[in-house]
Amino acid sequence: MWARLRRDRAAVVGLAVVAFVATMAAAGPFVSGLNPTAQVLALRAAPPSAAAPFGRDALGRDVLARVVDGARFTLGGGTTATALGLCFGTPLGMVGGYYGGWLDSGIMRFTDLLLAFPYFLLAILIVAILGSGLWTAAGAVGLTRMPQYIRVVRASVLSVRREEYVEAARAVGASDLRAMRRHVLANVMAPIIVLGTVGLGGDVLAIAGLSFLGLGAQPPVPEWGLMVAEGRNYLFDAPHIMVIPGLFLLTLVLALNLLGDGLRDALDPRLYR
Amino acid sequence: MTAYIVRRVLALVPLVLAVSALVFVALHVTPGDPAVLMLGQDATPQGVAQLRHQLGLDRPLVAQYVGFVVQALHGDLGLSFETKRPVAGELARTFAATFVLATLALVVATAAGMAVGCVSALRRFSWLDYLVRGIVLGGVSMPIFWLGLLLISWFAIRFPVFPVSGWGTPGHVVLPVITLAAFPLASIARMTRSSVLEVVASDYVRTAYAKGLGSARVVGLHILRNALIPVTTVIGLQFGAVLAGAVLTESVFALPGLGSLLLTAVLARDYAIIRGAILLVALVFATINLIVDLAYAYLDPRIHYA
Repeated sequence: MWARLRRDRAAVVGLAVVAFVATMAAAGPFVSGLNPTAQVLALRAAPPSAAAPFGRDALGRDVLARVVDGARFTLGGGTTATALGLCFGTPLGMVGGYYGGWLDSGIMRFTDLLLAFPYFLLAILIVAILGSGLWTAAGAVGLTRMPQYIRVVRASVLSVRREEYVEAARAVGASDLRAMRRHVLANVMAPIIVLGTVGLGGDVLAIAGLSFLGLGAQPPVPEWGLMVAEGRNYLFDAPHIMVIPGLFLLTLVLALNLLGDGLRDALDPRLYR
Repeated sequence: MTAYIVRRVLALVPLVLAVSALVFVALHVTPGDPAVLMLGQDATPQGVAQLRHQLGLDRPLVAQYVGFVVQALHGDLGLSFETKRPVAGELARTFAATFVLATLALVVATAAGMAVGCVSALRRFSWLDYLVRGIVLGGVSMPIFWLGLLLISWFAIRFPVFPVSGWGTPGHVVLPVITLAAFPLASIARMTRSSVLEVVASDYVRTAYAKGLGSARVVGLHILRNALIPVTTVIGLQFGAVLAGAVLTESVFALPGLGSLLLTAVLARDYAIIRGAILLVALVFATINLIVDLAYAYLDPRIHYA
């Protein structure tokens, strides 16, 4: 798989960017030595300069420092949402697909109900109930993504459940749990990885969107979507406040999409573009 | 076919009931008494109790829900907590802007997306193809609220061609429609491209060329018709994206639409509006999905609903 992925130049670039942002999220503020909260009031909304290459925001904070610090909120929020969706979606899809019957119908009706709303609006509804905040928003987005994962996993399980190697495992005495874990899960991993990577891009965008609307991260958290919202009143005098975080957002999601496409091609050589 | 449509329409009833029950219960268990919210800070206990009785909030939950459904069937969705105006009226007032915006965005996205995707596939590996693939990748990765702000700062501030925000003249529509169309356009172009590529490689297309048909006829009659089916699926899926994107777009351009109404209601915890808006969106969404399913049967004679 790695060999195939390495040959895909776009995917390698995507992987590099994602790794870079992940490093920023994990260690950024400690390594860069920049202070995201220090205010220089004399330099409010100052344009890019040698001292602050991305300029300063309306409160005189260094935009570069804030973007670096914000990576952990933007990527962390997205990862939380995707992980939540996968952690609940995968087992539900597997159980439904493996056992079928009323359990399966119940799970499917549940996904139907969630899919009755456009997912972003469902996330808004959940945030309306639970109150705004970055982690509430991440939870809401994760929950609304679940039906997608349930459906894909279930479909994959249905296609391998009757395979001989699964029956063989059952015949030599493997329990349901073991058969599912060792033989079924191994075969549905590929679509899960691809879906998760592309889904992460969507989740990052959704959380940034919620933050932009004031329903996700709250000031002074330097989440990138919120930073764009904070810059919208300075479009005329200081567009860099809005442009820079949005550019980072676009780059991260673009990289995740490139990586997802590359993984899909690498994991399933039968597909072609 | 008629029987199928009737059955699908009837199937909407339990769905809408389930959605409304979900929304009703969800908003009921949230902290914060609507009566207290309506009366504000200086509410007396007597006043709250009186309003609770007036709103029927002192009745059992099931009775309240049944009452809500019966009233909703009469077109009465209650009063907004904030403005005290009928929810149904507020929804009707804001629906028009969202409907115009969403429809135009989808039309633009479908027309441009299919054209661009088709050209890209037929001229594979040309510079045009690479350009289209770049635009597609950017489009599906774009934070649309950021795109909207960029468009404003370029085409409304730096070069004042269009108004910054607001609603009413045709000029007000242009930038929001571009913003909202970006994502569906990219998705539709991507699907059209891969779908056309697949059809172009098929035997019947080679046959059509071999028997001497001109490329216009082959593309129009053989390629497009067959490539259209998977594209329809993607177009259908875009309705959800557009309804969601409308909230962001309306916020960026300060448009008086359903999304703005819902957002204001969420920030003000105006549950009556939230409930009505979500119900309306779910109903619209379900209807659209039904129409998309029927469109398959029209486009692909092999699909037959009984």
